[in-house]
Amino acid sequence: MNAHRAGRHLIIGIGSPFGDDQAGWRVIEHLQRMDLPPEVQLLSLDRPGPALIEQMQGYSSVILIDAVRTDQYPPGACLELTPEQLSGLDSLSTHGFGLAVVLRLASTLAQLPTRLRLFGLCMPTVPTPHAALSPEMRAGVLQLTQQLSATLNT
Amino acid sequence: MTSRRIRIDVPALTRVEGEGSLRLEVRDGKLVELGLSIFEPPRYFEKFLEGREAREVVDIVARICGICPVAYQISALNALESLANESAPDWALTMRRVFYCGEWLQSHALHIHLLALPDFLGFDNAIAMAGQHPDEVKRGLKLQGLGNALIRLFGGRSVHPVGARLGGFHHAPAADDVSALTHKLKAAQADAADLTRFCASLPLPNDPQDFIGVALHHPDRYAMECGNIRTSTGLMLSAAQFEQHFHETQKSDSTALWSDFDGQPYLTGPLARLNLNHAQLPDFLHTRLGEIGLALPSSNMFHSLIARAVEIELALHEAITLLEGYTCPAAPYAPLSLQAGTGYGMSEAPRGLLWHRYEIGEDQLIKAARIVPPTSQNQARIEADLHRSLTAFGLDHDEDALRLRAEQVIRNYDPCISCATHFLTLKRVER
Repeated sequence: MNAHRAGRHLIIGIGSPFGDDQAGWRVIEHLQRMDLPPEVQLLSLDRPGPALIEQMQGYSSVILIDAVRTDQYPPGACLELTPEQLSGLDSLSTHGFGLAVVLRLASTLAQLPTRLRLFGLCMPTVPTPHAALSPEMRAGVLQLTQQLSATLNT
Repeated sequence: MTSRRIRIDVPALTRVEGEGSLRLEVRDGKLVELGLSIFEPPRYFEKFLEGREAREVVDIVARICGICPVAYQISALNALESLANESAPDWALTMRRVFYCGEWLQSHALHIHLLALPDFLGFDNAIAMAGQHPDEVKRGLKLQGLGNALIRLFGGRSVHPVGARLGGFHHAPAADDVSALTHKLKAAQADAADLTRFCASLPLPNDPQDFIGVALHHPDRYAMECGNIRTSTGLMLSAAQFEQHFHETQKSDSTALWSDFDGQPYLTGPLARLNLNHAQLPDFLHTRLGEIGLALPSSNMFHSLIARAVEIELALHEAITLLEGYTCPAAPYAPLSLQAGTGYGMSEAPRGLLWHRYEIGEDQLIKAARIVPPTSQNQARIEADLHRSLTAFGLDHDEDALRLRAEQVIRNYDPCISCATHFLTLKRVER
């Protein structure tokens, strides 16, 4: 069913339209304007819940980008996390199926891609209500975009 | 006799949609306190809608729920288009049913596999269950994924879709995309049949009880995206008559409203639908009901799980049938103009009846809105069920067993608490 995806790389930005939680989507938008290798697919998802597992099927390499709520790091800081580390942070979620839970479910079902990288962009645990990205998060988005672009083009 | 007191506080119910809690006190074999509290913050959507243009409503109400946005969109469109000078095109009305099939498919698959099944297979959560029953969980995720794909086909995305509009859809899917998805839906029919058999084979408690069932009924088909209200007491009502019989009240410990039907608790949702409309199921599902030995109407709330599985089979069948021979229409919508007045509309969300009312002014702006979601309607029934079911189960069971049974009873209704917290009376105090 997903044979056409084999050998391809997928980057998924997870988010919602609210303030700094858009961070994952903004990274994908920046990457869409860049000259990336043709085997790299880009996708933005709005709080996918368990449907994320189906979206990742067949890709040998997946990169996930999501906002994480934490006061341990300054806003906009970019962390590369393991799924276990993600469980200790508050990835924004809906209806109880946040990213950490979904990745644990995928792992239990042996449905994680061979290579999974997970990037969290930090936002405060009590976010300021605003429609746009904060300046700190905007800087974090640009930094992660450049980092990913450099990695994908080498 | 030794005095025995059990107090159970479940501060945050798990495997339900949203934030709620349960308080339960048993003293000397009697249930002395039972309270289902919903403490998720109220969401004021009806107030947000005031002053907005009628055409904006469909996108705003999609934000009420991440699980059943299609239901909110279709109920709103039914209400608003009741004020239109003409109907939406037949193509759009048919494709709305297909769009809705996607939502039943994804919501029911999520509920059965990740929320309810751990109860009946003896696990605390879906992850623990997935280790022992990976094939069942994979089947659930596959069915949920197909439901999401159907929603994306018409809505552009599966969470808070944006494709629906007054008069139809913004965009008609390409025939090739429809054909590819239909092929996958057909391939999943065997999985769905296995799911129904699997659910029927589970050791579900046998706990018959009396309740009033309320569901939409359509003369030509199993009601989903439209119809009139039918009750198990024999009443037929239009959307405009809803408020004559259904009332909402506020309770002090809950941010959701409680509904009654002429003063009585009532059930809305899959089991009510199946009880009232099973005669309209396609032949193969009548055969399935015979095969699994489910006699309808059923008074066992635990059969809600089987009802959801049967409705998954129905949704697949309906979507496949309606997409057979699909062609792109000349236009995916008709430009409707709305008259000033009050429009009423409803549909069958995965969790049950979802009723909307909008008042539109001459300026085409929303003057007032009222939305009654299924979980509000089921709250009184859930409490009545808890009283009855726990007593029948045996109040002499230990605390863990009582808590588990209480949670199972609540999960039978698949409550979506986020949807229910839609209103709170604000009292203005002048000093």
